[in-house]
Formats: sequence, C-alpha cells, structure tokens
Amino acid sequence: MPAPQDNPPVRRQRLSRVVNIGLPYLWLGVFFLLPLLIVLQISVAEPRLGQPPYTPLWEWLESGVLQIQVNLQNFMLVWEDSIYLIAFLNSLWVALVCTLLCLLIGYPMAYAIATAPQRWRIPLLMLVILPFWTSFLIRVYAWIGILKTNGLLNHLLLALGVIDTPLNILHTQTAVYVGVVYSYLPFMILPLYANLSRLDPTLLEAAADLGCRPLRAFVRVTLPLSLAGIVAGSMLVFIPVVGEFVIPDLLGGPETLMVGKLLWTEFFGNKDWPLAAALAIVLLGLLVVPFVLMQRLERRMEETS
Amino acid sequence: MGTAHVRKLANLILSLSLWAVAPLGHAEEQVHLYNWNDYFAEDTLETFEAGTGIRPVLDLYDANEILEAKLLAGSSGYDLIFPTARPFAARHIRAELYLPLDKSQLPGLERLDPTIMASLAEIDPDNAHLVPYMWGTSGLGINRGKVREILGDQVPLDTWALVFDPQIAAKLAGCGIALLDDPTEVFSAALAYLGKDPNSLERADLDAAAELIKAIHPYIRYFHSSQYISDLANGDLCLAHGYSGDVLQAQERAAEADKGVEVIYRIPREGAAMWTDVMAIPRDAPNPEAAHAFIAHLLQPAVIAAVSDYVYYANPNLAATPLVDAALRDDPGIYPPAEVKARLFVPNQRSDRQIRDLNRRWTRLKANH
Amino acid sequence: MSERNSSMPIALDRRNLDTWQDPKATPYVRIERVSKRFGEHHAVEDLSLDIFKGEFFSLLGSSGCGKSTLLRMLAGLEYPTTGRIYIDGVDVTDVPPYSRPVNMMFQSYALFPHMTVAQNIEFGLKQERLGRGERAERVDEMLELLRIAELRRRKPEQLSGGQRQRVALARSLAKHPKLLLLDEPLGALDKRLRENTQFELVNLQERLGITFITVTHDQEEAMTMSTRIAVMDAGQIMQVDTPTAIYEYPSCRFVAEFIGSINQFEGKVVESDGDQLLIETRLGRPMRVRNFHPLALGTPVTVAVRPEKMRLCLDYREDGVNQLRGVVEDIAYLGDVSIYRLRVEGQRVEMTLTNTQPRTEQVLTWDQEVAIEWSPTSAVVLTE
Repeated sequence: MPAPQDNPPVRRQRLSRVVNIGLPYLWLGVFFLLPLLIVLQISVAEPRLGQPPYTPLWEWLESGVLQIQVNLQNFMLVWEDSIYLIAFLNSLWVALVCTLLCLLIGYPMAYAIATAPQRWRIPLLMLVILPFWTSFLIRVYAWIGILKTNGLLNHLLLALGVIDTPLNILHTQTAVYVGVVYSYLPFMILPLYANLSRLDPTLLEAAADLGCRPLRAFVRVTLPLSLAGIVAGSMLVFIPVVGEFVIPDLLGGPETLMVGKLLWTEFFGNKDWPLAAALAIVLLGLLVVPFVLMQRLERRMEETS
Repeated sequence: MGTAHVRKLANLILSLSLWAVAPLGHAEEQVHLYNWNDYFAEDTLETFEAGTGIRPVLDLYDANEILEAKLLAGSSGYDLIFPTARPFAARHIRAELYLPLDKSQLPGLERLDPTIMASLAEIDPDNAHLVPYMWGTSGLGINRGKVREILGDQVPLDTWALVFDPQIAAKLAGCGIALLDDPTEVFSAALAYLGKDPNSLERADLDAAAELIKAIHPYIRYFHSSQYISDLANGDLCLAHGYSGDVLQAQERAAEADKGVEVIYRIPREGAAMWTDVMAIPRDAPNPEAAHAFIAHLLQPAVIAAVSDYVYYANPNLAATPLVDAALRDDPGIYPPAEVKARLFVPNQRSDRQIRDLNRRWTRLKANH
Repeated sequence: MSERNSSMPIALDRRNLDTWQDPKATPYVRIERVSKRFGEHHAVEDLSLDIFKGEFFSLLGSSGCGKSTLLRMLAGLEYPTTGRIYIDGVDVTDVPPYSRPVNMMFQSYALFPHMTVAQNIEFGLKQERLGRGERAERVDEMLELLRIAELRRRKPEQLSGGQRQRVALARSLAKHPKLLLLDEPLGALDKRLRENTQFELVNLQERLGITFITVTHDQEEAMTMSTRIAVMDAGQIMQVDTPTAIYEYPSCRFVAEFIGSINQFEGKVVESDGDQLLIETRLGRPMRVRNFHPLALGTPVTVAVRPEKMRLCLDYREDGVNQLRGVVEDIAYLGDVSIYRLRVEGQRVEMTLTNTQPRTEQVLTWDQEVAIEWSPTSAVVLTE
C-alpha cells in the first residue's frame, strides 16, 4: 500500500482543491480587496491640485528616508460635520422604507407567481424581469414624465377628479421612494420566488388538516419558511439603495440628502477625493457590520437548534 | 461656470454612435476631442476632416466636473478639451495639466475679442494655454405669459428680484422656480441682488447671501443645472436661473411645440455672471499637432459662426460676428449691448479650500439643514 | 364486483369486530356515489363505500387507481365533483379540511422543517386553543405513546426515516381524531422496519379505538393490518372484503391476479350439481369447484387455484378430476417454501410446496414428470 502522499489521484485532488478555493479568493483579492486598499489609502491622504489629486501615502525623501503620511482628518470631518451624519441616517431611512415597501409589494407577487400553474410561471417571471432589458436610466427618466407637475399621474388624477390642483411629487423624497421601489422590486421578487417555489405544498395541506385556517397557516408555516428569501431579498434591496445616486439625483429634491449624492459632490464638485474615499469607507463599514452581525446571529441560531 | 447642455440621453447616444460607427483601424491620423454634448455645429467635424484629412473622434461630457476627474486621473487620451475658463481651466493651468500653445500654428488668433483675451490673461498669463471658444451669461429664463399673468404687466422682468424677493418668489412658487445647482452661480447672483460684490468671499456677505437663499428656499422647486431646459419649454416652470444658451434652446423648443408657451431670456440689471468656455490641449495629449489644427479650424470666422448659429452662444471671434445669423446677433441676450455688457462680471480666483467650504455650505443650504 | 356476499363462508377474521356484517349498524364514514374529475381525467368514478367505527380499512391498488384521491377527499384536501361524503352522520362534502374531525398522516410526513418534534406535535393542539398545560400534557402523552420522548427537541432534518414516521403519526394523533387517514404510512420505510411497524400500527389502532383508513399499494401490508380491504382499479372499487375473503374468494380476475399469484384455467360449465360445478377446461381435464351461485350450463368461466393449494398427486388417473400432470421447468427455492413452475400441456402452472425436508432431499427436480391435484373447495370460479 503506497503512502497517501505518493498517490497521484490524491495529489490531483489536493491541487484541484487549491484551485477551487484559491480562485474565488484570488478574484476577491484582485477585484475587491485591492480596490478597497486603494480607496483606504486615498482616504488617509490630503487633497491637492495635480495628478493624482491627492498626496501619496509614502514618499522617498532625498535623504533616503521613507516618509509615510497618514491624515485622519477626513474621518474627523465626516464625524464632526452633521451633514454627513444626517445624510447617512437619511440614506439608511430611505433604504429601510424602500426595503419594507418592496417586501410588502414583492411578497404577494412572488407568492402569486410561485403558486401559479406551472405553465404561467415563466411568462410571469419574464414580466418581472422584462423591464431590465430597457436602460435603467431611461426607466427612471420615464418616472420624471409620470410624476412631474404637468405629468401623466397629475393629468390622470385631475381628469378623474381625485385632486383639484396638481400634486408636487417629483423632486421630493416620495418620488425617490417611488423610483427606488420600482427599480429594485425585481431584486426582492426573484429570491422570494426562488424560495417560495421550493416550498412543499403538502406542508400547507398538513397545516389545514391540523385545523389551521389559511391565513394562520401562512403566518405559521409559509412565512417562517420563506425567511431566508426575505433576508436575501431585503439585503439585495437595502445595500445598494443606501448608496444609490442616480434615483435621488434625478427624482429627488433638495431635501433628499443621501450619501451617494454627497459622494458625488465631494468627488466631482470638490475634487476632494480623500474625503470622498473616507465617506465610502464609512458607508462600507455601516453596511458590512450589520451584515456580519446578521450572519453571526444566524449561525448561533443554527447551533442552538 | 458650466454650460450644461444636457439633452435627452438618446440624443447623446445618437451623436456618440454617429462617430463611433465609422470603421477604425486604418493607420489614418486621428484627433480625440472631448467636448460638451451638442456643442458643435452639425458640419464642424465634417469640414475639418475634409480640409485636413485628420479623422476627429468625439467624446462627450455634460459637466466640467466629469472632465476634470478624467484629467486629474491622468492619461485621458484626449487631444483637445473644452473646459469652462473659471475656475476649471484656471486651476488646470496652475496644476500644469496643459500644453503651451504653438501660436505659429494658429493663424487668426488676432481676430479674437481683446477684452475677452485680456480677461483670460488674468488666469493664463500671455494667453499661453487657452483659446476662447464660446461665451455666455447666466441669467433668467422666464415663461413670459405665466409670469405676466401672476405678477401683472408693471413688474420688470430683468431683475434678480423675481427670484430673491420672497414676496415675488412666493407668488411664482406655484408655477415653479428652479435654480442652478451651483453655489458660485447662486451666491454671486444673490450678492448682486443685495448690491454687494458678486465675488465677495467675506463671511458677512456670504452669511447674508445664505440668509437670502434660505428665505426663498421654500419657493424653489429644485436645484438643477440642466433639467430646467425641458421644463421651461413644456411650461412646467415659470422661472429658471440658467445659462443663456440653454434658455434660448428652451425658447426654440417651446416655439416648435407651439403650445402657447413663450420663453424669454433676460440678463438681470443688477449684473450677471459671464462665462467663457475655452479650448486647451492636455499635457499628455497623444496628438497635439492635430489639436492645433482643430483649433485653427475653429478660428476660421465662417466655421465658428456656424457653431454659434447652432448652439445659440456668442463666439469671441470679432470677424465672425457679421457672419452670425442676424436673429442671434441682434438678440441682447446673446450679444448684449455695451451698457449691459459693462454690468457682467467674471468669477474670481478661489482657493480649493474656499470652493470646498462654499460647496459644503451649499449642500447644507439645499437640504435645509 | 360483489361488495358483500352474505352466503359466502367467512373464514378466519382477525377480530370479532365485524360491524360491517351487522345490517343494523350505521356506517361511520359513508361515501355516496362520489366522482372526482381533474379536467378530462376521471380519478374516481361513481364510487360508494361504507366504513364502520373501529375499522382498520385499507384502500389497495396500484398507483393512479384513485385511492389517494379518495383519501384526500375524506381529508377535505380535494372536493368531489359529484356525490356526498358523510362522517359520523354529518355531510362533510363541502367542509374545509381545517373544520373536519379528521386527521391525516401524509406519505411524505409533511413535518414542519422549522419546528422541533414537540412543536410539530403541538401544532394541531394550538389551533384548538387548548391551554398551555393541557397542550404540554398531550404532547408528552404522544411522545410517550410512540416512544420518541428523547427526540422532542430535534428538528425533522435530524431524524431518521423511521423516527420521522413516528413523529408524523404522533402529530396526526395528537388531536385525538375519531378518524385517522394514513397515506402509504409505511411507504418510505425499509422492509424490516416496515414489518415491525405494521404490527405496531395495528396495536395502536386497537388500543386507541380510532377508525383508520389507509392507502397502500402493498398487498402484504394491507393483508396484515386491515379488518377490510377495498381493492381499487381505474377509480372504481373491484371488491371490498376481509383480507381472507379477498384472498380466498376473489370476486373477479383483477382481484385474483392483484393479490398473490394464482393459476387460471379457462373453460365452461358442463354440470351444476348443488353447490358443486363441473367445468370442462381447455386442457381437456374436468375440474370440480365448490360454488354457491347457480350458473347456467355452458357459461364460460375461469377456474382459479392458488399455488399453495396444489399438492402432489399420488393416485393419478387419466380421467381424474382436479388432477394434472406436467414437467418441472423451474424451481425457485425461497427457504421456507419452494415455487415450482410446471408445464402442463402448453400452460404454465405454479405450485408452492413447504420445504419440510432439507433441500438436499428435495422430492422434485428439473424435468421430472409430476402429477398434482387440489380439492374442489380450494378453487374458485370467476365469471368476470
């Protein structure tokens, strides 16, 4: 019997394992970690006029001494100036409201598709995905046409006699909610559909058989079993919406203070790349920390059960 | 500052594809241009290629900030760019991002308006880097019919009071007021209305201007640098603080739509900002020779007059003025008479720190926090 | 399709609970001319059936025969297209499942994966608004009854197939239903476990006194557990009777073939004498069969004889009744018994003999010529 390390299949197996595990890490390293480190480096630099528009992290002085400059002022400013805190809070608020609205609208839709007859499911899913085939920007522009004072919605409501004077919806936070919920709804529906379509229908039959009315069966069986889909969908909506720039810029008004817009102003308007980088780092922290906490909670729940 | 020519996205895509579709890969000479969206006449590029055999490749932007970000990142690959002189080109010169011009390759420079050249020399000693392209003002775009209906026939329209007098602004709020999303523009307009130096950086002056803006904030529908073009044309807005060429574009569209909307442009009597867009060659331009050739092309009076006819802005080429469409030449909003021209002001030099402070002040002001 | 044949001698029954034989007894479950159609497909066709209190009733048939649909209609998970269903005298045809006094054990067990064993069992009790204490008591009782107390905190995914089956059973019994429906209750278990559980189910049913209706495709299972069996085919009932009667006196060829194996000889009636028929078969040999229905002479019939009713014939005669002679073609040794396949004048005949002797001393061997016979009371006459 040869020693295991001399065994070619074993070695091949080990190689394939290294490749299997190494590739994703390599990918993460090159396309996530490296850019993150660059952003981190910029965030501790100082802005300057030139190419690039920030001071280098290290410099070889003529005396041959390596000089490293770390400037934490950008983070101080983000902390001290209330405008950034307000923008962060408002971004989180908008993301929260939109996630809840997406859930409220998306869940019944996902449920309806998942319980529809088999031959209807693919066409219905296509209807959900179809708008993606149009440019995101054009779809948001379309909402300008719908929501503006002279727009379709106001004309419709006036014609129906629901309102007497046109509503000012465009350039308010409400318009941002509408645009975000519209744009991100598919990201809620798809994971929920994937989850709900795997739900064993006999579980609901069992619940009914045990005396459970449909609504209660939904609350006690369907809902807890679709929790993974709810979490996945909410993450897919919440995280990008916090940093969303295009929708608040096009549909929002001056009151819609969101981090994405501030980032834009700092980066382009102020050419303050370091502050923009610091903002981005803080934003990342705000998003990653709850995510990690959530995963840890999930793991603990699994362990205790 | 920025002549934001943002039209519909489709427009941009169309013009992009127009110049991208032609086959590449020949060893032919090319010149890479980076210009505002919709800022050439329809035949400007064709006549250049016909005259020189150099193929122009056009890329478009809709904000100075985008151009600047690309420039600062380095190796943009562009041969010729069209930034606004102040503060953008000014600080690019200080950062040594531009190549000095070889004036021997630029016949016709002497035909340019000496007052504009003198003004540019303040930021570009000896006019070493910049050639002016177009100039204009930022003033008021007005839906005449609606404003007259609300304010009556007696109220003058060529005044910042329409925006900054809270009583008037309150009356116009219902049919919509828009301001440029640009702190320098809005602050200098407010300062001009208050009778102060529009370029003042005194804390007291800035505070007074901020108070004024706060007072009329509730009557402002939005702050945006291009959205007002279509909204003015559709009648969704009554009053917009905007760039002359953009407002005139709205005027044209409203006339085409023929739905009873009449848009006019007025330079306020308290004074208004004048801006100049210039041509400059990035220091790392791959083909500066061709860039010079393109500038020379635009220095021809007939060529630049055609551009003015198309974009509704005045050009600084004195020899071109007689060639410009009479309707444009006689429009006081485009070619203002001397006494109006005397009240125009150019933004002064500011440090990055001052600009950042102003920008952050602006963000807070807009958000009402 | 004789549902009941009162003159037929009922041999051994597992119990003395023969309520179905009492003409005065009222059925606990009454299925009255029920049909169920899914589009063009007729799952159940004009079916009537009475089931009595305390029965362990089995619906037996191959897949697609409509037995599961019938069970689901009893649970309220499907509604009949036509016909009525009564449970305990109440018309429940249109009553939704959550309002029926019936519980069901699903073939897949349908345990709630996000709940522990105890929570699964408690689920139905919570719907009844029982007090917390009473619920806990009932859960303990069920855990005790099925001897799964140590599993109470586990999730279904942490259980073996047999444990899941017990949990599912506990859950369906927790509400103390008067009628329990079981859809292939042992289908997911391996053979050994299945055999043990069969007896356990029967004991449980006897102890609790609940009426069980089970659906199965496994005849052995049905035979072992049931008081009565309904053999179904194509949405209809072919025969309802005790396991013994179904086996010994199948009413038609379908039932005869479905349960166990059987030898069939075609022929026609040549003599009808009291309770005996003489049949001339295609093999040319006369066969005598005990029968209680008078049949006209010349009626085409099939004589059916189970393999284990055959025995070796020691006094073979050329004109002997119920006697055949053939050649051993095949022998299957199963340990307790051996199956012999004989060729008798072109027809295959199967015979089972108990191996009373060690294998080495086997009486019959391949290609050996043997004579066999059976008694007239061991055969049945089938007309359809």
